[in-house]
Amino acid sequence: MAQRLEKIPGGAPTQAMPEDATALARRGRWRSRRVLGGGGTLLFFLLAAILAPVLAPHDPLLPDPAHALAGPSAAYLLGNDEFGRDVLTRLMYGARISLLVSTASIALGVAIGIGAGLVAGYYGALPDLLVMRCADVILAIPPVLLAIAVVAILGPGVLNLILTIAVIYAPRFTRVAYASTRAVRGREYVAAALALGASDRRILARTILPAIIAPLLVQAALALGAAMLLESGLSFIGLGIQAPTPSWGLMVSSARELMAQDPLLVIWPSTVLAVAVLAFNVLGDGVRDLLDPRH
Amino acid sequence: MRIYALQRLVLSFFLALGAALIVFFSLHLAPGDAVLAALGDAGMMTREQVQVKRHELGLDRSLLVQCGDWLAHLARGDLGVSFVNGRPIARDLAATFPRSIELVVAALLIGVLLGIPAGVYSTTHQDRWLDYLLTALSLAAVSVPSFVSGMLVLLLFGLTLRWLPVSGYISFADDPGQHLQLLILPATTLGLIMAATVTRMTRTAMLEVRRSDFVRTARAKGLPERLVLFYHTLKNALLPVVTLTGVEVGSLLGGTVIIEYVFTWPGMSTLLITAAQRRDYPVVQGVVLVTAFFFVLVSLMVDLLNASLDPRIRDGSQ
Amino acid sequence: MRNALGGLQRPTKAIPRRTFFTHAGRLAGGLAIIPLFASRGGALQASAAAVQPKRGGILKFALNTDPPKLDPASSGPTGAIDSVCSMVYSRLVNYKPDVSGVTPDLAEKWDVSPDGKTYTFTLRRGVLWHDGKMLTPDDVKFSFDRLFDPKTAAPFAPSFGKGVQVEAPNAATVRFTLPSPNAAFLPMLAVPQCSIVSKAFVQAGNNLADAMLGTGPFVFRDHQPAVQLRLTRNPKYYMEGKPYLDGITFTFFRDNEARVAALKTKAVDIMDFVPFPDLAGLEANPEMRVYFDKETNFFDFRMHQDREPFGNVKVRQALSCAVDRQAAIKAALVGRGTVVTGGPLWKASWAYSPDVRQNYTYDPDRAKKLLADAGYPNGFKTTILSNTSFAMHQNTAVTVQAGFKAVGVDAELKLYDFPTYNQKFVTGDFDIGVGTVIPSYGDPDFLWSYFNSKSLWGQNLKLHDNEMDGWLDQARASTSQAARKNLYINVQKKLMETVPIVFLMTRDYADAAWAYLKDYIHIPGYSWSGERAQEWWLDK
Repeated sequence: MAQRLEKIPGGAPTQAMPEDATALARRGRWRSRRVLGGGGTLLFFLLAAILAPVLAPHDPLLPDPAHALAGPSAAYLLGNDEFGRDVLTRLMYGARISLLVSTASIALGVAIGIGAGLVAGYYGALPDLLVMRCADVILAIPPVLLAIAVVAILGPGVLNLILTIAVIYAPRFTRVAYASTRAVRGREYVAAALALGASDRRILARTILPAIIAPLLVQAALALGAAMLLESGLSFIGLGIQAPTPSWGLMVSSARELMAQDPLLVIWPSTVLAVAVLAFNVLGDGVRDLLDPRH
Repeated sequence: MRIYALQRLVLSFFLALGAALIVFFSLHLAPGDAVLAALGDAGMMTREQVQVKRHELGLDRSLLVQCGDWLAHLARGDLGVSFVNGRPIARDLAATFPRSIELVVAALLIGVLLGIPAGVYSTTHQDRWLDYLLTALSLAAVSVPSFVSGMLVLLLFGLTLRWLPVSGYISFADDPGQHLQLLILPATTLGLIMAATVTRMTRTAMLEVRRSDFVRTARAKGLPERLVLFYHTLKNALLPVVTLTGVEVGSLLGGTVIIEYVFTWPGMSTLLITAAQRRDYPVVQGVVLVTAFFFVLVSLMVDLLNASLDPRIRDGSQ
Repeated sequence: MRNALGGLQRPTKAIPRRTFFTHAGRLAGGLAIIPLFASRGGALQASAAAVQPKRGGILKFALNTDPPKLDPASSGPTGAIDSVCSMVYSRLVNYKPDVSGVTPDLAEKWDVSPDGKTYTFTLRRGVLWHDGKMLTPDDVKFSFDRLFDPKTAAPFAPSFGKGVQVEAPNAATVRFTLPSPNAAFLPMLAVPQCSIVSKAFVQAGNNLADAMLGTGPFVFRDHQPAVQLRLTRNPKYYMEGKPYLDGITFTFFRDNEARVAALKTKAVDIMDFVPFPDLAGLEANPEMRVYFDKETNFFDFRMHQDREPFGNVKVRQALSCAVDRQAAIKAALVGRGTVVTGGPLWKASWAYSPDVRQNYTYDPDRAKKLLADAGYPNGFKTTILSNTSFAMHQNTAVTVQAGFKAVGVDAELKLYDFPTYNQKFVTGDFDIGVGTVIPSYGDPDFLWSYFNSKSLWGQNLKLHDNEMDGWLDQARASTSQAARKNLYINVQKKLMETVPIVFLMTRDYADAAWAYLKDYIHIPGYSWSGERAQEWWLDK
């Protein structure tokens, strides 16, 4: 569930009114701790993912029936799955996939969102109508359902998944880009620049784009966790990453069927998933607190 | 206000129509052969059998003709039939959709009943350990994937402790007691996630409102803190919470898909997932459509509720 | 034919010596001929005084999947659909419990013309549809016309070939005229896809995918998708006094673990397709009966012969030597399977011969040598098609891939969900495919549908073996079982040499039920056990 950063209606413009200087200081420390904590954990995952081919002790795909469903041992620190593959290795490679899908899809979504939102906000009239109504329609369909529908069309797989999630989250970014563009466009210096003969593109790039980066970053950071949840959920029900490619959601799904025989197997990917999403959410909160002028 | 309501209604209608069209065109422009995929569970078809089936399903007509035909049926409430077994989709949806809504409503209730008090507590104890605890718990609740928490809940309460049944759906009409027992686990799992979101929303909203001018005024007037809290702050904080909750219903609907799968609750997720796996396009279309319509309706109602509660909109200044 | 030993190995209590040897003696003597009952109760009942079946009770059945549609004709062989249809509909003939032949069902008796092309069936009189109307030969004609109609797109229809004529010359008989003799015609009629449906019912506009009207022992009551499907007793069933059960309720569960749990807690009485990891536990329970079929569910990989380099027989033989069958059984079937040592026929089939033996068994060194002989000393790259919907398929594919890798063949796994996988196979979009072969009807002639170049499979695999085609055609047309047996032995021996499909192993298919379900027999092959549903009874 993505947290949405809409303007909260009904609230009057606020001034910071801390009751207590210590509380404020505490809050400040907490904020930076969040970014550090979330960011740090993610960095750890990222490193594990990037260095997986080097660091991982075994092959993630090659089956080894002799060791099927073995418990943790010296060679296989977290045990083996139903194929005898090393769980630790698959977790590391799973990090690659899960991180890749989450970040790539959100990055793509942001790119689409910037493009669409800028065009709609700057040119107004028909582009505005088309783009924003399209965005509204996509937002009217719950993400999981839309994802399943798109998978029904395109088929499952890594690339299709990235595309799907990007399309699902793009409207949120479009809205943010649109709102900021509209806000900045009305300013005096833009009118001045136009009067001086500056091209649309220049204005867009020089003045508007920098203004929308911050709110977009906040939205993107918040959306990353949701993207990872979506990918793992889809993989869990079999409509996401397909076996034998390791994906944490998929590992939970296969482990679930074997819970009677090997209850440990389901714990590893579940824990890793939860921690990763947590880290994304904490990071997102932290980024929002840092960049959002209202807090 | 009435103009506003009318505007929103018209907009909602077009929104729903837009969703329908997007769904239709994306499914029909899909790569791959719908007929082969939907019928191919035997893998024994001859090419001519496939041709005949394609004609029978009307898939060899032009796209616009098919679209027009579909919309015409839609206007009559006919969502078409499944490619795989010819069952009328509207009928199956009428059976399964209410079960999903039931889950959504139950989860919503739990979420709100737990979330709002928690959010209030969080505010009054801001920056103290209770606040941190609740924040941490909320964060954990929205971070742990729903299928993981669902599985854990199922394992703990259903299979290990055996407090509640885990399968064998019974409708409310047939056996209310058993039905409710079956509802508890999935609704609670979803509801806790919802509660976490509501808690954070409430907390944020309340903090925001608390710092605002009119609350300061109320305090300055010397009103008791309790009154300030519950009457002024909460009442105004509820406004954004209501709005955002309405928006979260969309997430809940998505959340039910996974939860229904984990707890084998026979809502529309079964219909959808099976259809997606079989490439049964009309069914996927129908489910997405009805969900979108429902969500648009809920958004509309939330907007109207918001409008009637928010004096700024109600009195016309939008 | 059920593996009789599988039936006797069940209980943990030591079988008294005397009983064991008595039964072992019987079994050793009559494997191929005497109908065998997997349930312990069956063999014992034959010796003890016949137990009187009790009436009443609803059988709760945990079916492996919710049938996607209920029309017997338009369904491919799918376990769940067959199971349900076999209980609601009747056929002209049914299988004997050991699939050695057929017994009368709606057809009381039949005559075959000397040239083998005309079959005249005399229908049983007084059979009623579930709505009370009388069954007539027109219904039979209608059912088969419908089956053969291209609009129905019945997957089973091509097995009959083109040009089968059905006539209802009078009020008591139905006549089939075949374009050429087909020794397997009667066994083909016994499958649930050849169920007799009501002409009036269909012409009144009812959708058979959704509604059922039959003449079988059970009446269709309702179907709530993903929840349950209910059948009730047919009080006017033509067999006097049967069925014994009051009804059958199929309950649907999302996954296998839930089904097993439901069986263990007696929330259901019987389940089909028992997951492999749970077999040992159920077998060990003295109050549970596990009904095995260890011999008809073959796992294989198949090669597209128009694609490089699979046209070269040495390459195929090499690949056959590359795969470790035992490893596949362990990986895909959790050890619950048997390596195939011969051809794709079950041991109790009359066409089975122990002389048919696989020549290209697991031997990586030999594989490498054969590859070198074929001109690929350094192996080659290829792809393996399989699906993600069934773990056992996928796991087999992974093992095959590993075996190939060890001899230098670099195969990329192409895994898709089941509909796409089927699509790719049907359109010939594969190099190597991993899947299963289960006889679609109870006669060795099913080999024709896999290995004759004119069949759909033959076309998909691009087989070009004229000699084999000849044998298969002859065996189909022949009326002498001995002659047919020889021909099938030839076919199989050639298959062992040309290996268009490599048969790896069979799986331990099993149904499991509480012992209080009596007279249940699992008919080996597809899901045909329901054809005897009127015999089942509950002892409680």
